[in-house]
Amino acid sequence: MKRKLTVLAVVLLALLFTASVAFAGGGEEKAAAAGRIPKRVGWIGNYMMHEWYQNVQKGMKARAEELGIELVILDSNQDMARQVSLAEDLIAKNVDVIILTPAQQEGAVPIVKKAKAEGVPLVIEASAVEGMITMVAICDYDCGYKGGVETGKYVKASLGGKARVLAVDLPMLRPCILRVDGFMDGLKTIIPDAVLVHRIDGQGLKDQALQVATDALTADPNVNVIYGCNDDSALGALQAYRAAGLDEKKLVVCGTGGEGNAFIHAMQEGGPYKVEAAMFPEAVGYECINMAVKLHNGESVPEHYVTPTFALTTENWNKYYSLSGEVRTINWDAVNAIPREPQCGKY
Amino acid sequence: MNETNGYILEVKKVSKEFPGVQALDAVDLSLRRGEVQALVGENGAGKSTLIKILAGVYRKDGGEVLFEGRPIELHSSSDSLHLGIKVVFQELALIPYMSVAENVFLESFPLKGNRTIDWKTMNGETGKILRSVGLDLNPSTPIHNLTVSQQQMVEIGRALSHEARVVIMDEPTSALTPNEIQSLFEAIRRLKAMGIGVLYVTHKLEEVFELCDRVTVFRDGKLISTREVAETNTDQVVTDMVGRSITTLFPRTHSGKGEAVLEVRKLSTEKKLREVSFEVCAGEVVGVFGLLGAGRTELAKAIFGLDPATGGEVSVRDQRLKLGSAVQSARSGVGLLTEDRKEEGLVLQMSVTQNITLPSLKEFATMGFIRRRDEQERSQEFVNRFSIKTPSLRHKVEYLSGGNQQKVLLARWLMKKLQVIILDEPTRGIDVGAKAEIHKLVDELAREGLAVLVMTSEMPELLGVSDRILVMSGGRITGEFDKDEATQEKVLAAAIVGGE
Amino acid sequence: MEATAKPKQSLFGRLILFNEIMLVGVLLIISVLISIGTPRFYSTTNILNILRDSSMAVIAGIGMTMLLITGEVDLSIGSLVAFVGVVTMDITNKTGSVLLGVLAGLGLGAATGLINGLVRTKLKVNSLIGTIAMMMILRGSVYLYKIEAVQNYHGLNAFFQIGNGYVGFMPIPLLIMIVLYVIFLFVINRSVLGRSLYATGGNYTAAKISGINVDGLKILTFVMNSILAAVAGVILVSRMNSGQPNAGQGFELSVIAGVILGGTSLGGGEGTLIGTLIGILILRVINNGIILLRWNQDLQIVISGIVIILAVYIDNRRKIARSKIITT
Repeated sequence: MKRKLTVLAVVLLALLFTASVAFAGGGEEKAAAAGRIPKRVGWIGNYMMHEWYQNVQKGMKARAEELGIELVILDSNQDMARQVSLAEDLIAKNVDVIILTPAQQEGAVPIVKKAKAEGVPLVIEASAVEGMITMVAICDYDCGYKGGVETGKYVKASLGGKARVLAVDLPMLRPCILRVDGFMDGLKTIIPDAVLVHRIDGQGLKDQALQVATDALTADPNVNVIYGCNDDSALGALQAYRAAGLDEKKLVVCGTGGEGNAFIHAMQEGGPYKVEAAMFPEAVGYECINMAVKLHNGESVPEHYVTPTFALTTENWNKYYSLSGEVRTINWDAVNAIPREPQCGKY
Repeated sequence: MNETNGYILEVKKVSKEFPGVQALDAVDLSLRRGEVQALVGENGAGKSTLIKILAGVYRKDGGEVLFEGRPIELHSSSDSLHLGIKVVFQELALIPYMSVAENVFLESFPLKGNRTIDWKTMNGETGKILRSVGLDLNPSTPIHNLTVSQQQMVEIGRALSHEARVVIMDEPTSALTPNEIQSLFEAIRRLKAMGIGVLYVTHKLEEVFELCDRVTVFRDGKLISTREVAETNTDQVVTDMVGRSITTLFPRTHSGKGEAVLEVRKLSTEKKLREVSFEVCAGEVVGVFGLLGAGRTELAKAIFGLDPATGGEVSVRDQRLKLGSAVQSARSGVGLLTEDRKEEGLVLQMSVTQNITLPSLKEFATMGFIRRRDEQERSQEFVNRFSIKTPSLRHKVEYLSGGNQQKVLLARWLMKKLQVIILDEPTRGIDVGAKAEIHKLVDELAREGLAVLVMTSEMPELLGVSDRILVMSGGRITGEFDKDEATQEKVLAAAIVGGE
Repeated sequence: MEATAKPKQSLFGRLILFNEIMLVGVLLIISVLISIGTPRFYSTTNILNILRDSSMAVIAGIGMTMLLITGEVDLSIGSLVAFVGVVTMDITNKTGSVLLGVLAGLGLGAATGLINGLVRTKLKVNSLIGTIAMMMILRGSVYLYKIEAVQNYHGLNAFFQIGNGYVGFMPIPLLIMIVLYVIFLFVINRSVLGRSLYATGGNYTAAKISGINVDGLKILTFVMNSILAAVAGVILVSRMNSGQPNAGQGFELSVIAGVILGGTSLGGGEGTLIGTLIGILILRVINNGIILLRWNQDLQIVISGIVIILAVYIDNRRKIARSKIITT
């Protein structure tokens, strides 16, 4: 009998609790009316330690400051369960908009549903989630494509017009596959008989890329273009090329992302690193805030809002970035002026 | 069908071969009703193999087994049990968290109307069975609350519940106190009276002569002899076991003792020892006796510093040792041969040479590097001196027999030039042939002037080897006797005094 | 023990008794098979590449072998390699001295090893758990220290030479590996220290009773292990030309896999440097072969896994074969 009473008491308490939460939440939302800047925006990030997201953060903070928005940044450290509980926290704390970088695309679906149910606008960053309202992300295919085109121009002008490519990929991630595919397609528009000699898995890491590229170059050292699906991959393969004693002057290297300063450094060296398929992480953060404001005002937004990508070269990179010491600053006017694709060439 | 010739069990020309080894070679054995027959032999002689065949664990390669005159095939242990052969192994096969009754009737619970267990009948029957072996216990006691001795009785009870006709006991007394041994013997005598045949495997010859009717000796897989106990003696049995005559088990050539080398004063440890004080002189062998739990091993480890002490002091030639520091004791000339030589004494993967020289490496080192030839030569000396049987010095120690392993350990300490050596159960689990050799080595240690401290639970060894005897009980010294005045009764009396 | 007679043995049984011989055999067979598929395998370039690439793992493997012999393990060396790389490049940038940078990296290694050793002997934390914790601490700390990779701002040639230079035809990392290997080969097989390692791992109590300072020895071994891993880290940062916080992931597992393939036991008391060298080479050759043969790169892990399982199985059979040689 005692047991049954305890269970009953617990159930009643649970019901009371749920009811109070449900009633409490409703009122304040309506206060944040249309046509205004949201007061508080929360960003649930996925992998804050990475250089890329450090720069996304910079851009996001810059724009939030400009508009006077209080920005709350939380890191879930690649843990999907943690993201779910952080989302619930933010909703309970009455943020106006949530920005989410999903740890997993399927696992984020409940968050999307919950945000809709609670009437909290949600901006997704980087990878699509079913049921989302809008996603802020680059087009990986087109980014690689632009890099390929620019690299093709250089090969035609300075390397004799024949292209033999070593591509360092990360097959586990679809965005990376798209970049490599895009690169080759772009390259072939300038050099139709370009050959993909090696397509290797560097796991996105410099030391892995170094080791695998060493073996690949032993199998066939006749390569004059190196492409990496991220900067570390390209740089690792470059080191392997150098260690193999091959001639750098006959080589061109193209990286992707521009997540940190490594590519600028490489370009400044005056070596074979000539092209960067830049993804402008700062701009991603910037646009996330813009989308957040739009959603908050009830404006209609595209399902995929594309952020700018552009092929930087040794000639033009300093129009978009300036580097002093180890700190780089983005040139907003130049970057914002880059034309965006309305849709990606491939998904 | 009736049993022929009054034999309840007959083994005829049974053989068993393992890859590369003939474990049993055409063995003939017979067991009468109501007989207790001892099976003795060195390790590896074949007695365990025969037992396992009778238990249904191994399958024989050739020959036949007759039970009450009928040939039987034993494919599994339940076969044996149902036919009426019960084996009580050293590792008892009881389920600790079930009760006595549940274990006794494990394979054959009495049922009410074929569905539910008839607890009343089960407990009642169990009570009867227990009483018949002289055990007065509540049948619903869980097994893990019983002592080893009581658990053994339950196993015997289990045999009776299955109406066993043959009970085989494998080394049953290794963990029992003298009183418990007597209870076991009583129970076995009762089995005898019921007409049950008992095969009794043991290392302890004194038990053979106290309990058994006949004694059968195995050697190298063959059955050497079966004699009436009343018509033979220890020496003859040992000769059969070893294949050669052993004149004396306890050679004593050393004499005279020097000054006190090891002095222990009021040594106490947290759990067991209570202000133990004594001394050992150079060239003297002091034997320490005690029942299970008296504190012999704790004393050995505390003196050496392997375990921490809470009070007292230990000195070697007036130099105080730091308590609880094994490294320091080793460097001050104290050696310890632990009770469990495999766990704590030998480095099994290392060779004979490497094990012998382990504490003496500095002797063989130039600038930190070992002079291998010197090391080999010196080790060879010891191997010869002690007749350590090994194909080569580089043989890994784990493949030697127990007796030879023990000799390696003793060689180790003799090479080291110690002042004091502590030996904890130096002949445990070693067959008779090797035992004598070990005792000879102990004698040699004393002759070289070491102070020798021997912990032992075997009375004959104690009385044979020691110059002076200390008796422990409950962590204290409760008796001290010179060799000449010591008798088994006096020692035992001191051992049960003040027990906790 | 049931046997007292001399047992019979199969020829296969006797052959696999010599673990190192069998391993060399495996290495040769794999190499020949790959060579049939692609002649590039036995070109000088490729052989030197394989050796130079393996040098880091072998150097770390020396330390890991010694540590495993004493019955301990260290899973933090991957994170350590990353941290050492970052520190070495950073200090070299800041001081303009390669020597200082390298000493800083090695010092970090020594300190890490010391902490690992103390955690094991004084706090009595199992080394598997303790070094996993250290792995996490190091990996987190390197990001606190430097969130971005440290680029090469000093451009010093000496730095470049460490990982990429040659002495004659011999790559410098290979030279470093050979020197260290020979030194430690002597130490492990012939010195009192080496014998004490085997004793401590084989039977801790027996070693203690014999007067060996077992705890001090374990701490020393942890330190040596981490310093050797740091050497590998210095070579890596030179080859990558930047200090990457995300370097070395999985390094500890590939080193341990190679060491175990070579016959060192996880339980302690057994292991040889020759086995380690060949074990690491076998795994490296497999990875190299797969790329040269243009097979799917994912097979690298699969085939390595199969080889390791087979090797441990054969090792077990070998132990059984040996156990038949019992004497009375």
